[in-house]
Amino acid sequence: MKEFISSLRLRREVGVLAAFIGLCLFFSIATNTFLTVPNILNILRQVSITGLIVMFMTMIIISTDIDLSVGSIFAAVGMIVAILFQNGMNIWLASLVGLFAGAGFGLINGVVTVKGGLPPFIVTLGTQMIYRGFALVISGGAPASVRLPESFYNVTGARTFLNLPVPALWFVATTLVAGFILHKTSYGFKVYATGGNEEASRLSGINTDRIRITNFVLIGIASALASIIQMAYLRGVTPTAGQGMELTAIASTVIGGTSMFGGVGTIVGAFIGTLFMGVVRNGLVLMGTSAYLIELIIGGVLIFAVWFSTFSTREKR
Amino acid sequence: MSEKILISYESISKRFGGVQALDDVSFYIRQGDIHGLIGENGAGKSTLIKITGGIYRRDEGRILFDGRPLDVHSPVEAERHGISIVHQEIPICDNLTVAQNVFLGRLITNRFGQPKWDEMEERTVELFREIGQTINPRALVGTLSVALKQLTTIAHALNTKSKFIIMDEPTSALTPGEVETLFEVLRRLKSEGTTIMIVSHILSELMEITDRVTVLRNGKHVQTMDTKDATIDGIVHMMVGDVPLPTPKDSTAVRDKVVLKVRDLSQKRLRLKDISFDLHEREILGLAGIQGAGRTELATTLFGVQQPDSGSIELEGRPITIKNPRQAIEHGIGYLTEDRRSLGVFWDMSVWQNAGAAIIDELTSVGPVLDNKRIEEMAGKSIEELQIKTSGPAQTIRYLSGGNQQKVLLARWLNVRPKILILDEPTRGVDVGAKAEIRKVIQEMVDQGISVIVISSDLEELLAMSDRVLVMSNGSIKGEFLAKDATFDKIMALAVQK
Repeated sequence: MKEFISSLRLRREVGVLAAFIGLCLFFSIATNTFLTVPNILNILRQVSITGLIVMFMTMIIISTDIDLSVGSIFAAVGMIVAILFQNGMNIWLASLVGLFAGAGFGLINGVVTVKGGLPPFIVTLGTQMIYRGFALVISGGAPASVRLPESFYNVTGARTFLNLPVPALWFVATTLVAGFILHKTSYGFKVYATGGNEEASRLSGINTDRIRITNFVLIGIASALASIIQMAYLRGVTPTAGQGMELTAIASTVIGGTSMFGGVGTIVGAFIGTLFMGVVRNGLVLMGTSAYLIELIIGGVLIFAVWFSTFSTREKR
Repeated sequence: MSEKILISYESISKRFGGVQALDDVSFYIRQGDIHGLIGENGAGKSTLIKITGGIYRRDEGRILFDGRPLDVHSPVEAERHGISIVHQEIPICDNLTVAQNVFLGRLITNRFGQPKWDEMEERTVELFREIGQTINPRALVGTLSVALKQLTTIAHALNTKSKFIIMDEPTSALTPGEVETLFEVLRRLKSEGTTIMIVSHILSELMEITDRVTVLRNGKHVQTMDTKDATIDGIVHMMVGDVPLPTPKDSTAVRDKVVLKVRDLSQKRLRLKDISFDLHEREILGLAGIQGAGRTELATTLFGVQQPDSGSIELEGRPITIKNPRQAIEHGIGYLTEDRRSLGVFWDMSVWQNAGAAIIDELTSVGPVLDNKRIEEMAGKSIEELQIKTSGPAQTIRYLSGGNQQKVLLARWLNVRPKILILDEPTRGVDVGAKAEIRKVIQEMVDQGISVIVISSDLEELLAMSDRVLVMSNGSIKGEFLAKDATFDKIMALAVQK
């Protein structure tokens, strides 16, 4: 029975996976640098920061909400941690404050959206600007560089741990955690139920408000975590970081088979979707494509990938 | 009545995964007839309609329409051939006017492409006049009654010059008066040469309106016959095979033990006024009344969906307040919604997920971690006890028949081990066989000690099931009968009081 459940869940992902494998094959043939261990690790590292957020973007979209403010939370938390650290706070403590700040930003999004009965698209569009403004105000618009202690750097931003980039390990770990939450817990069940039929969920005694708000808090924490890891990796932060991040995250989510109508999607899909976006960008760079052209192609690929995955898994009638 | 055949189905078969929805079905419909299509849920009626309308493709067989093979791939294409379907849920734009809906997809425009509303509104009034109705073409459809919405879709079908109109459960949401109006409309259409296929569970209505009927069972064609040669008993037998219908029950209610005591409950917005009643242990208490009497409103108020303005609720002697459905469930009260489609089912989720939705916090091992063993136990028990026809607990509920979906929802509420279950139209849109099964399940619940409040618009069924019946009208309780003393006349007399 368990196998059957997962096979049903994965049906939508099969199309994405097929497209993803096709893409990898193409780049493996078109370039001789794509299919190498360093390059694959590089892709993992490149997608890891956004990837952390994609997992929870998937969860929030399954419950029919959306968060456009993740890039701004990312920047604001980075500035908060950097400024606290520059003013003498212990980096571990500062990071903890940063995670709480991320949770707080998410809580604001959630409470205003759910208790205010407002569309999440509008609320988080607003807070996107507010949080960005907050980052700019506290930083005076200037980037900050940080000299982090080795002990902290080693477990967050280090380029290698057992020859693996540490941010990529965080990404993989977060994926596993998110997968566990969504697919193995009653909380995950309620996320699907809320997205599938909010009214029926409420009549079944599910506190849908709490589920939705918690999703906003979780993605706030994920954005904060992503920000801290990026800060460690780059040894600095800028208040303009993370612009457009929400769109990359949503694109990866959707490529991964999550329905914008809610109720449908998986973490496996989100993982493949994230890699998909990374592989397209990486492969095009390796082929020597102009940076301007890459954006254009990625936009087309996004639409094509979603078409392909829905086309190949569309129910036979 | 001509002998010309309008549509003929020849050996139609269709499979969905492991389910043979239609198996070698052949019959024909004569031009100008009103043809009844009858069968239990899951008999294949909806599938046949959807194949005719281009929503599904058939696997095998062919359809001859007007003498030519019919091969449509979409509802639009079907409409072009002159086939219209009036669905159970009426796909209509509530934010548009009657005329706009009638002309949806075929606006009359001038040479600059601007819509000519005056002309369309005039034409709408004419179309309604053709079916013997008057209408304000500028009324927003959202403000109309279900009956008028349905007539709007019929007008839309007429406007597309349909030769063949299929109506799926057209009377399920109508009052008796509205049903009569609809039938007049259908007779008028018939006299003008339109052919109609009507799907309904209400056999007495089909006996009244149809010329011929076709019975399907388990995807197979049982018989097509002239209605005048058919009897209701005969048809029921063809539908269900050999299943005995339940006999009237002996009361199991424990009179001196009051489980739920409601006093002077009022809710102004929902027009509930001074409602007082007792529910006894192991009693089935029926709520009778016409549409809009406030029965569902009372049920959802008891379930905490909205708060009463005044009045008191006592559960087993203790006064309680119920702020939301979760609290109601914690108190041991369950509520099966009347609106299975939009308030009950999680369409993309499996049978077990639908059955376990209200107790998901109990299906865990450590903290919130789901426990597969408990889930399997729960699912297995639900499927077995309610005899849910499914390929397994992981099957998506979407692919179950309406009757089986309803059983899954019943399982959801049985799983919370309630003291009190409020069942709102538990057998609506469910066929004779499943109806009997659901009634049996309800009796078993009571035998296990659950007290039940039942709302049903089927008075006959309500009387057969209940120990006692309350009659509601206009937001308050007008009277009370022991089921064995009640008659249709007595109840209806109270139900139509103001």
